[in-house]
Amino acid sequence: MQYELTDIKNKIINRVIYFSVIFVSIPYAASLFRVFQIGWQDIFCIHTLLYIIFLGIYIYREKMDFELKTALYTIIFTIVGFAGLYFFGFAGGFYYCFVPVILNGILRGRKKAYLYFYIVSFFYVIIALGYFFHFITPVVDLNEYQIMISGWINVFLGVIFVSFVILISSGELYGYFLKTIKEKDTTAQYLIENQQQLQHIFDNSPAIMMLLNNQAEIINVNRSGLEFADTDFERILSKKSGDAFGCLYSLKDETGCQNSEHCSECIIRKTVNDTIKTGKSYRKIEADLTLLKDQQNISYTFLLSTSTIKTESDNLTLVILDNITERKRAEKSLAESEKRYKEIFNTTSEALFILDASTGAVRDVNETMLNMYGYRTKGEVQQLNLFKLSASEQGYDEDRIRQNIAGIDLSNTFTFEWLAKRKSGQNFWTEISLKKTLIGGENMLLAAVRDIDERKQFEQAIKEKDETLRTVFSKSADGILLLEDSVFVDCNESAIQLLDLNGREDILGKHPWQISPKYQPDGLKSFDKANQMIDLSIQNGYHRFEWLYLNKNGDDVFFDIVLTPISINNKQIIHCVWRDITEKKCMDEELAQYRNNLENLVEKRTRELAAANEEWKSTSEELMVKNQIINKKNIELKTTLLHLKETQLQLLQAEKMASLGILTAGVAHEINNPLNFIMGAYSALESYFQNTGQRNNDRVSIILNSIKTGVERASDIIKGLNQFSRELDSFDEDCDIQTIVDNCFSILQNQFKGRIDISKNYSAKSLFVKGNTGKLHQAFINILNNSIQAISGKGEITINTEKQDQYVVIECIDSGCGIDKENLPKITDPFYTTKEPGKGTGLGLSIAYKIILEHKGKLEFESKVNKGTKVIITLPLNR
Amino acid sequence: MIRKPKILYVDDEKINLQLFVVNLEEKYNVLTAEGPQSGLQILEEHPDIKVVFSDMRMPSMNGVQFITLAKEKYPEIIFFILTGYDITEEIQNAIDKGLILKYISKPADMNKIAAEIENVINCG
Repeated sequence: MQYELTDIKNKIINRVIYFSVIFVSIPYAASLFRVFQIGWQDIFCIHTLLYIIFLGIYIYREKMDFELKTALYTIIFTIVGFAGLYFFGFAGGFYYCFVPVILNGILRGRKKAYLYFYIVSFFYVIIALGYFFHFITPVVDLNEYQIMISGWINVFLGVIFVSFVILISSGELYGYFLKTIKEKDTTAQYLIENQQQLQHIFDNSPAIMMLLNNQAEIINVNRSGLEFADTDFERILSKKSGDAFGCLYSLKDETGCQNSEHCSECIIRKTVNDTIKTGKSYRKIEADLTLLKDQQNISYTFLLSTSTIKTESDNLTLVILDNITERKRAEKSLAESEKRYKEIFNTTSEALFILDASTGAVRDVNETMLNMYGYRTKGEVQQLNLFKLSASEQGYDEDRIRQNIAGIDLSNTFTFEWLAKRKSGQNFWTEISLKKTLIGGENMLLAAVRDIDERKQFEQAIKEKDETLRTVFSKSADGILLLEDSVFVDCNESAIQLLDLNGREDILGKHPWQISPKYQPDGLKSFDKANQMIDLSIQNGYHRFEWLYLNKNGDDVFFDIVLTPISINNKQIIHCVWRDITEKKCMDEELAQYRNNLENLVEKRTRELAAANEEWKSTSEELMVKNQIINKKNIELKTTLLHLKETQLQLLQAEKMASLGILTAGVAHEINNPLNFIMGAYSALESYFQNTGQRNNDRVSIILNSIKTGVERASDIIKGLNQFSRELDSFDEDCDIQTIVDNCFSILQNQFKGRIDISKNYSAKSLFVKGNTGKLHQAFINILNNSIQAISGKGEITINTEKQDQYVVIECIDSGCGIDKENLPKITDPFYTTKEPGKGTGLGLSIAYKIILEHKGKLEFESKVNKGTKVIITLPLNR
Repeated sequence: MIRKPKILYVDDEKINLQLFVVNLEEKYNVLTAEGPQSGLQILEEHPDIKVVFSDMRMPSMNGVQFITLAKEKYPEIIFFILTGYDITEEIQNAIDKGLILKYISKPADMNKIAAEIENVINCG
């Protein structure tokens, strides 16, 4: 505020300086260059004249009330200037004319006043120097001495003024002068008044206005602000603005109020801080703020504007807060109610249309309409009119629709059924409520459309069903009659025929006894019996009985009647079905006779049978017991058979082995003898060549070695075969399985070392089996050797041993080539081998198999080609 | 000249006998018999026989039976069984009883046989 006031003041001061310079410089310049021979009186006159002229122009142009005080000041300055002129010569006059004006400017905080001061002082010094060196002659005639004094005083005063200005510019004397000038300066007075006007505007603004210093402390606040903060001016002054308004935080305090988690995000706080820091102005920023009012958190919405007011000593920040909370709330509730309306519009089960009343064009529809008519978007529908949404059948043409629309006035709602059309072209029945209304000054039609297609179809179905039932009723072969209050009210065609009537009128309105003989065969009166039967049917919901009817010819006709009480439109109706059973009745009688005969016969036979039955009973019991035994045996037999099958398989294998044993025992000997010949001959040849010195001849060596290798290999096969015929060997050693496996690995070491990883998962305790250590070694060597040979290149073998019940189970898992399913049963067959000739005899596993069997164990294989083989050896544990 | 030790080999296969002789005659005085009967006869004729090798399966009498008879008469002689059959209970019993020193399987390595003989003679 102050700054703006100063601005106006400065404007005035500028003019004053401007005028002064002009009307002081012209006469001086003239006298300086001796254009006119004039005395100071002349100058004073010219001066005053010019002053009045310029002042007049100024007042006229600016249309301002020129304050008397300001005018007086200016006049005083001018007089002082002239006094200086008189006493201190030209330079003094010049100088002192300006100094008060310029000082005034300086004290008002005018930056340019300094500049003026320096310029004027510069000229002053030049002129003063001019006096000294006599190239400038003062206007007033002075003697040498006077000139010297004048020069010295000029210099002295100049120094004082310059120092004075320096002191002011450094701010030391500012306060003091401000105070004095405020009181005395007429311009300042004017400015204060101006300020008062602005203060008035400031105070009466409906928006909250605050002036903050750079510590964000309030130094001024308007009435709206005080009202909002609910406090008085003294109390709010110097408070941080947040504290003052109850948001409990200070704008300057970086940590915020801690009262709200959004404090650091508070837009007001951020904006105001930014203005304080950078001087940037903001206009109409919408900001939410929660304030603590009457111990409650209340949310407000403000429009925030900030700007910086620069003053000499401080930068002030003007904060304007326009409270728009109410307006926001109103907008919000409006938006919500519109949203609700939209919601209702879209979620109602009726399709809603807003149509142009004059053209029938669709303006808006709801979601239900889209679903009902099978459209996807409103845009699609908005291009259509009612005609396109109605069935393309007669009576639904455009003209009729126009007519219908035209007939509607603003007061009534019309409801009618209408055949509408879906997007797919399928017609469906609707019920439409149409109302004309004014929306935004336009005539609109509101149409609520209900899909009643199902209802229509249902009605149709009921109608059809009704017809069906009616047909069933009238065309039924049984006579159907309806009784109401014990009187016939309806009957079908068959009833008329069965009862041999001329027409319905013969029976309608009559009681059953009226069309029956007086007595029924059981002796009851027809009247009583009829009522009794009806009562029974009502009681039980159903009753069936026989009834005697006399036809027109007086013949007895028997009917089988079923009475079913039914409720039609809240009336109790008895539904009667009449069936002629006269013929059946006759047959029944015949049948009854037959039945009697039969019954006699049956009774006789039954007696005979009873006797026989007694005998059977006892026999039967025995049989039962036997049967149970048989069943039990049967089960046993089944399991035995299963065992047998298993055993048979085992036997087959054993038999295979046994016969092989017998065979090999014979063959072995027969082959061993010739082998022995060769061996003997080999030895003889060897010593022969030894003697002749040819033993080490290469060819002889090859020949001899070939013979020896051949014999040894053949011999190995025979030795292997001999395993099958062995009878000797004790089986009573305690064999430690894990030690045996370890031994075997050490024997075979050269075959797998560095190539196959062996991992052993042994059970913690040693596992002992009763048997033959040597043979078990042999068995395991064969099994392990097989596993090793199955692995070409690198691989692994895992050995697991564990105790399972009374058995030791040893698993040997290799990562070798595996055996395919077909060959798996053959691997224990002697001579079955997949190895290259000479690499294996094909006896290893069959020997192992035999040995394991001898130890009453089991040898099983699981294998997958290229994955590996798992050999499971099960041996009975030594107890 | 030291006289070569006398040994007897009983086998029903003539070739076996011939080869036995061919291989061992240099070191030993090898006598052969084609059957147990003739074997016993030779034993009777040459009481200085030190070692006897016998086949197991022969007509009329098997090797163990022959050795049993022979050992009764000449307990000093060391007997070996040299057979193409696997070791049987009968042989094992004979070994256990000390009738037979060792069971040697056919086809037999002549060097091994020579070593056995040497062993027996040097110890005996």
